Amino acid sequence: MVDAGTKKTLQNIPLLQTRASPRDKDLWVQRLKEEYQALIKYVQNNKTSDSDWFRLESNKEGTRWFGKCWYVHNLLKYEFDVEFDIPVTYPTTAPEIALPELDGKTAKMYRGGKICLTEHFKPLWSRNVPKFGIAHAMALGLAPWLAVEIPDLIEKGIIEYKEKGETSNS
Amino acid sequence: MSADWDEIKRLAADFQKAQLSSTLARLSERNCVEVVSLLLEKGLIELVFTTDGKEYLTNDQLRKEIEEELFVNGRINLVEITKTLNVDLQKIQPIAEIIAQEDPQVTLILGQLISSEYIIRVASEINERLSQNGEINISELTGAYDLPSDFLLNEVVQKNLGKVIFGKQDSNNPRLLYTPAFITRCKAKIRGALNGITKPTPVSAIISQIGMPERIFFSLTNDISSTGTMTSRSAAGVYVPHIYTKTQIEWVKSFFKQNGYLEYDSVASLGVGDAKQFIQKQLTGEKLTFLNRCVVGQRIIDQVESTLEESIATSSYLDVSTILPSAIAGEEDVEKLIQIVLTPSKQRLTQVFNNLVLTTKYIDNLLKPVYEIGDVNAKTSVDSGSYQKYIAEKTIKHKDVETDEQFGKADKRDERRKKAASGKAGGGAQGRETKTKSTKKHQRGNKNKDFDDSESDEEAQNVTNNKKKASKDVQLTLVSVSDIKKVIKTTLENDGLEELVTEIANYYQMQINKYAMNKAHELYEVSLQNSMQNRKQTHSTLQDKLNNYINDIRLYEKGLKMFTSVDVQSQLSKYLLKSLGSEFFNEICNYVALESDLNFVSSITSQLTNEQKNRIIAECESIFKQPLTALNKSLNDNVEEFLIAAENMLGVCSMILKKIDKKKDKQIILMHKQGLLDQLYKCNEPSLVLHLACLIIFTIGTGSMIHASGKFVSTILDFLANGYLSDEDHLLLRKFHDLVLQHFKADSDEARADIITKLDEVIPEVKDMSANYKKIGKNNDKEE
Repeated sequence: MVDAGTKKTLQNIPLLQTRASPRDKDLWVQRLKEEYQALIKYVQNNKTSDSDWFRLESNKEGTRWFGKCWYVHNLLKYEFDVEFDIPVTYPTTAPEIALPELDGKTAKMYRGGKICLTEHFKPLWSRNVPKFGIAHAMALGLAPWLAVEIPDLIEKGIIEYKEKGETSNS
Repeated sequence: MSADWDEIKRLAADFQKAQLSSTLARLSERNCVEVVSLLLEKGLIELVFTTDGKEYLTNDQLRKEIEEELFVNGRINLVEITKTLNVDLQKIQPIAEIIAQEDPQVTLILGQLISSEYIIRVASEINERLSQNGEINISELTGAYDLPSDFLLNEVVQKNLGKVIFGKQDSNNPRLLYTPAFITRCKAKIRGALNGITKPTPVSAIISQIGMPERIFFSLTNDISSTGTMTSRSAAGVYVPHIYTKTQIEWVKSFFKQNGYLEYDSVASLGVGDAKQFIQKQLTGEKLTFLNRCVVGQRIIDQVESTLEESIATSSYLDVSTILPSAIAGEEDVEKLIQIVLTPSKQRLTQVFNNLVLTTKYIDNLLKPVYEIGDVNAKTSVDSGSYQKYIAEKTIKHKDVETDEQFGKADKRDERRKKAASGKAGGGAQGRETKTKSTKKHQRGNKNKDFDDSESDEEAQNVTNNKKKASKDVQLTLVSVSDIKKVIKTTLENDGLEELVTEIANYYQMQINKYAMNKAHELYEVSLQNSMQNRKQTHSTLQDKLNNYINDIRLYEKGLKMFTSVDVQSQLSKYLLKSLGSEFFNEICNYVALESDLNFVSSITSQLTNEQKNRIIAECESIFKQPLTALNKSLNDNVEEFLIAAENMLGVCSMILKKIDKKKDKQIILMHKQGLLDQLYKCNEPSLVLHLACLIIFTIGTGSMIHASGKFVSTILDFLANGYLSDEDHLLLRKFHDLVLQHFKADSDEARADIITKLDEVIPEVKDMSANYKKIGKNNDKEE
């Protein structure tokens, strides 16, 4: 399954109740509300545990999400753009998170920079429909992927540290 | 709806706000780790990680913690500290070493830190244990305290000996500790055990009895000056208490003093190895006699000696075993003792059987009847001839071995043998003669074997004689063992010595037998002389008899020559030869047959048939053959021839023909006449009366004898009528003769009876006439 740390973080994310896709007008609003609340909670949790690792924002309808995520390795912060759409069949289908920067740099990625999620993710997700939301997908899908892939890519020299102006938002 | 969207907007704003809000302003654990690792990297600080990596310790802190632990426990295992302090052993080890180095109170051993307090505690524990057990082996403690024995010994025990531990180290084994009390206890135990022991005991037995380790026992027994000796003959060693030896000696002395003897067995059973030597050592003052099984003092020997002397004096016997203690019953011992006691002078007076000393006098008394039996047996054996046979056999055996060199000796023996053999037939003259011959033959060595066989067959009945025939020395048992037994049994039984019967009998059998043999020999010598005479006599009797025959024949011949008629003469001589001649021949034949040892001798009767005669002639020895045939032939010839042949024959038979003696002839004639007269008196038969009367008258008339049968009566009568008889007499005889003839010729019984009455009348007359007949007739004749 998932490692202990992930599990702990997962538990701290509130579960969702509404089953609704962007097509279901009213219910989607309801769902989106829950999504936001979960995300807020997750981010707050991250901040308190000094493990904030992403920024996300959505379009108006909340169907498309984009932002940044980062990973600290050897005291260096590697930052990547992250984006994904809410699928029509959401929440039955999990969102496909993509890191377009890294497209073609690693084998564990689909075309267009969509990350290959672990084999655990999908059954876990389908079991927890509609309780899991975006926050869960982030915590359960992207975070472990980053933890595994990034140090590997850095070591291979595929990605290099980019001295950017903003290393932190503080 | 819009409200919802507003809310969404608001939530999105909140979300952004949440995202953008600064993260908490404190170092997260991760950061801390990073910072610390950075510091460590730069060598700015020195830290020790806990095993889980969650904590850091400074070295000082670690040392402090270790020391604290040590203080609490007194002894700590470094491995255990790693667990309690959660610090790697590699980190602790050097610190522990430093502590041990810097602090003299602390010792590092086997990965353990031990404080001096702990050591003292251990020492006091050991002391406690020691005082409880009395004895402690350090090697046992190593298990209990999990400390190396060297450490325990050097650091714990020796440093604290006398201070904390009150005990004594074993001098041989420093790892052993005792309390003085324990030592004294052991000593007391040992002393008690050794004092209690009364017989030699293996040390191992003692040790197991008092339940004490061997080494303590051995190290202590030397200290204890208890009376007793320890020998190490066996691996275990045997403790021989002093009192034991003392009792042994005492027992030996007192027993000997009391009884005068000592058995080795009983001494040995006291536990003395070499009883003989021991006794010799203990009884130095005594005069000892060592026998096979015991030692005997002078006292017993004296006693035996005096009893023996007494029995010699009273000429009785002495059973030594009865006066000796039962312990000296062994035969060898008794014999030895008897040997000692019997001085040569006494030996002559006694005879020893097992334990019995019989005085010779006693034995003489005992055997007196046996000697008598010997006498009797000797006599019977000589009489029955078995002794002679024995002698003969003996000489034969000798003869076989000897060569002809000793000719003279052999001759002598031959003679003796002849004599010996003669006895066998039991005195029968003829048998004896044959025997003599046979031995002679044997001597020549011809039919040696046959002879032996026949002899043995004959002797088979006499078993005693043959008993030892097979052996080289022919033995004759005159007095057998059983004979002796029978005789002495009763006497000995009366004296309670029946078990000696056989022995005495066996012992004296030879002697008595020899005596009997001597006796027999004596008797034999005597009988030999007798039989020599006897034989001579029989030979001479035969000679006389034959002489008589010849004499008679000669005289008869003379008588028959009175007859003028040749015819009558030849008839008479033929009759003479047929009767007397053949009788003579008979005798001679018998003699020859026996002499020649012809096997049918036994079947020969005094009257031989012609066949037998022929056989004798054919089979007799050659020297006899020729004269015998001649003699036989002459029987059919005239008397003169016969006489010559007879003379020859007698010569061969080594008999002497007596010379003609006229005086004797006359006497013979007289005797003959007398005999005839006697016959005449007794006779009543007419013909015989006539015959006898004729013969008498002829004899008296002519002065010579006539041998004639009845058929010559008329011839004689005719001859007598010629001047020898008076007429009356002649007529009387004639008449008588006629009557007799008539009587023979009579046809009827009546006539015969008539004649008989007539004869009866005449017979007395004839008898008278014959008896009173005198030679007057001649005178008459002259007168005529």
